[in-house]
Amino acid sequence: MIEMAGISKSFDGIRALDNVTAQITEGSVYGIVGTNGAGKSTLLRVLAGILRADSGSVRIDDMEVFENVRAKERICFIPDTPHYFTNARVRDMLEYYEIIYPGFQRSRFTDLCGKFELDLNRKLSTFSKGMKKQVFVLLGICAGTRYLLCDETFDGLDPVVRQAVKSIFIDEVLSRQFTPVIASHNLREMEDICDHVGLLHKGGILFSRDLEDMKTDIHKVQYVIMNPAKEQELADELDIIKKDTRGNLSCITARGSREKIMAAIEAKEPLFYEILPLSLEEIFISETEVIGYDIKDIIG
Amino acid sequence: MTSKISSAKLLKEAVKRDGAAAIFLLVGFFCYYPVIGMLLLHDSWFDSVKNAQQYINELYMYGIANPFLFCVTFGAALLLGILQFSYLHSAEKVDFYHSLPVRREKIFGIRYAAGALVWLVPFAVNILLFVLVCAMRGIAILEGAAAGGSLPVLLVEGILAHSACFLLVYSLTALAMILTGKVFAALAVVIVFCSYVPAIRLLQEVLMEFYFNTFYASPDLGKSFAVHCSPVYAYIRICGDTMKQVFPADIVIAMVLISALICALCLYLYRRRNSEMAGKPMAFRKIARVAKFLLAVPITLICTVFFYAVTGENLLWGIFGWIFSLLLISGIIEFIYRMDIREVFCDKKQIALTGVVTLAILAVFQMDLLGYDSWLPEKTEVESVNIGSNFVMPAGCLGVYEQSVAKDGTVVLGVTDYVDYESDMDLWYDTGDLDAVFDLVKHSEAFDDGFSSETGEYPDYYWSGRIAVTWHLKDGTQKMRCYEYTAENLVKWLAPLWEQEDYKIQTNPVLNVDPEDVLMVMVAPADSYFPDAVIMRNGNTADSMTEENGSGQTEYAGITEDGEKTDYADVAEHTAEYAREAMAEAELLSPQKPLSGAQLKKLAETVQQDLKEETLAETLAGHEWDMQILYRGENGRVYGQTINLSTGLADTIALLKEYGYELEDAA
Repeated sequence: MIEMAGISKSFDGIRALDNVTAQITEGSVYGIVGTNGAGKSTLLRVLAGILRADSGSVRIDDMEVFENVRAKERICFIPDTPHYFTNARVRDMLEYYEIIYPGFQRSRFTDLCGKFELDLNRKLSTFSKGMKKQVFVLLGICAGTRYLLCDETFDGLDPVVRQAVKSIFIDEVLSRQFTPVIASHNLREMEDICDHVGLLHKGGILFSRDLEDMKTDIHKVQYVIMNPAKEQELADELDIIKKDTRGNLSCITARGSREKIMAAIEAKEPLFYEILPLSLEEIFISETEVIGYDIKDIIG
Repeated sequence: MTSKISSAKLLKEAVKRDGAAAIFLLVGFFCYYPVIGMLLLHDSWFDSVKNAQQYINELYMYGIANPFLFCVTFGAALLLGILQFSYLHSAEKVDFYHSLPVRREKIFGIRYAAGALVWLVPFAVNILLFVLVCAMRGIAILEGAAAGGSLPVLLVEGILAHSACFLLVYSLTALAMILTGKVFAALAVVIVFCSYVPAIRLLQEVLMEFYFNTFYASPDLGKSFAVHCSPVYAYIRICGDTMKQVFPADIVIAMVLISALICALCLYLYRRRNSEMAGKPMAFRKIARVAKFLLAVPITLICTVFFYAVTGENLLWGIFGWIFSLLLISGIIEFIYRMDIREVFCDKKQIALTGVVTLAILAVFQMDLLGYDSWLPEKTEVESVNIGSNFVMPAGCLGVYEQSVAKDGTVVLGVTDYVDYESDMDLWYDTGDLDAVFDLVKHSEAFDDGFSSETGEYPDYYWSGRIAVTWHLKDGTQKMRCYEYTAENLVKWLAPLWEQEDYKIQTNPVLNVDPEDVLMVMVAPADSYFPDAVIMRNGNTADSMTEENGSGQTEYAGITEDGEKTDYADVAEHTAEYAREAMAEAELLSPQKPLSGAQLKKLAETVQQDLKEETLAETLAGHEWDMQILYRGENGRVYGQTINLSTGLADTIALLKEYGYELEDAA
């Protein structure tokens, strides 16, 4: 388990992480979502032991991470733009990872490279950006570490590859102790892969929840209630995050169980109402709007 | 917790990363050592060399003591230091390496060792091949110029010397790379490492020269501790010693120890370096602030003094220079740190502190708050005193000559150097007559209140009134001061010392010359110059002249030990031509007949006697003629000393007239 307790980190007087406290439990695909500049990359680099937190602690399986080889042996970090050696081929990186990570699964890596049609003898500099990311995701998976930290790694991967990686992740999670932690602002991609999400905003964690739980706790409903007084009563009863009205048709995003919301609406004798599907992006937008974030800035 | 990751494998990988540099060095050294070595040992050349010892010396010079090789070592250390630690300047690379389950000190150690091996292995292996090639010709076990210095021994010592040089520069470059986040900043830091302490010492000399009337520029500044603090000095010293086939064990050990200390400092800083500082010019903010202060203060000082001095000590210009340079230097350094023009003056507190410190230092010098000019030791503190002056023998009056022989046998002497009489401590008068010295010093400008009022802003005989004094104190220290005098005070208070025969013998080289060693006497008007090249004899007298020289054969001789004419003879021919023109252009008086040896001897004896009897007043009085005496010194070299034909040398003047020098007519 990764435990973050009150982590703060500043750069040149700008607070990138502000008292972040969260836990990442094992056996899930954990997504860290957030607006641009929310501190996702900083958080991952602190988790990977690259950056020293100004305050707070990061513990991995009850071990402090920074400059702790034993803890870092359980982590593999794939940054936004992974570094590879000058003129290195895929095979060169494979050999280096074998030295660094004693549990590296060479045969699995070569198998996966075959499936993803990545030539081991090809220079990495000749690969496209997406193909390079595939190579490093595979290196990370095959490193045999318990935790794989991916920073914007899935940006630019096509949906087929994304689904393939997701299935590999699921296989790994089921077959061994493996917890991928993925940071991204691209909610659609995160929705494909993650089953648990932490929402980072302005250096702090707004919430950290299971994706399905989140979807069951926020609902989008459109309805027509002709009586303004009853509609006002409904607004008072529900925890409405967002409301749009066009003529008599209202559309709300509200917190609470599906049953509770439906019962409240039915009690107001609507002419019509229906529950609409809510995407992770809409949940994210709703949550960030509550804290005054401009929606236009987060559409990535 | 010990990492399971093999250090050897990591080291191998790190060396692989520098494959290009390693291969470049390997091929370069291979071409330089075994390949060219075999060419040098080719039969056609080897067989023509009669002296194997000489041959080994040549090979040693080529293989180790070549200044070009030291430049290669310096360049390789700088380049590899940058290559090994350049990843610290890239956020991507720092993320990669610092996310690995390897302790930072291990990463540092691996990178440091990899860089050293990339240079050392190709160098040592190829030198070994070079020795093998020499051994095949049977010359590897012979001795070179130094006793016990067979070629393998010399080469091993050379490898050690080069390794010490490499380690020092490599460690300094590594330190610079760790301290910074950009390569240009690292290079600037390396330059600062190499030059800061000597530059501060030089600044101190400049300020003291400018502000203190009694300051005497140290003649051995180059030997001062500050200069020794520069790695460049160590490098030059080790290169020079190696060229002389002397193994500089002391400096090699010192360089290795200093490199080890720098390496330990690197490790400490490496561990404390924040990964996020990659790409920023300075990686440590506190160090950057201190560095800015340490750079801004001396530069502001020198700029302020420059503005003040070039405007004739105009205070307003001085103030302008202070403000301008303070803001400019602080701004430039801050811009380098932040790369943002809007933030160049953001650290106002530090700018203010720099300004205040600069002013304080200037005040110390301007008001002589440390009492430099007014310092005078107690008599009881003084062990002995050395006195030197520039008015008896001003700069340029004692020339060192080099001899060459043209094809026609003409012997030519050309000036190669001038003895700086004022700074040559060997020519200073060492006295224990403290009373006379204290009387002399107390009547100098620095201690005589009436000095300025009597003489105006500048004293009479300013050009001639400098007396340099070295106080040797009983506590083992020595302090040097320079005092200025009016002509009247100088005659009055120096005369008791100057007119002692002992003083003259110590300070006037011509008085120590055997009259038989005098080669030539020239006379010219006081307002003209003596030629810097002269023809001594020609034709059939050349051989005897060469024999006379004995061990005094100069390096520039056109005749070898075997008596064979060398290519230098052509050069000597040109020198002879130049000497003829120089002598024709000089307004020299010539006797009607060349002086005989006996006449020269008599003239020299008369000059020596006159100089011993000459009074200080006579010396300082005007004179119309100068005389130059060329003589052979004890070390075999030829010197030419210019002497004023003052009224005190009446007997000499009379003898010159007798020998046919038309002094009166020419005047």
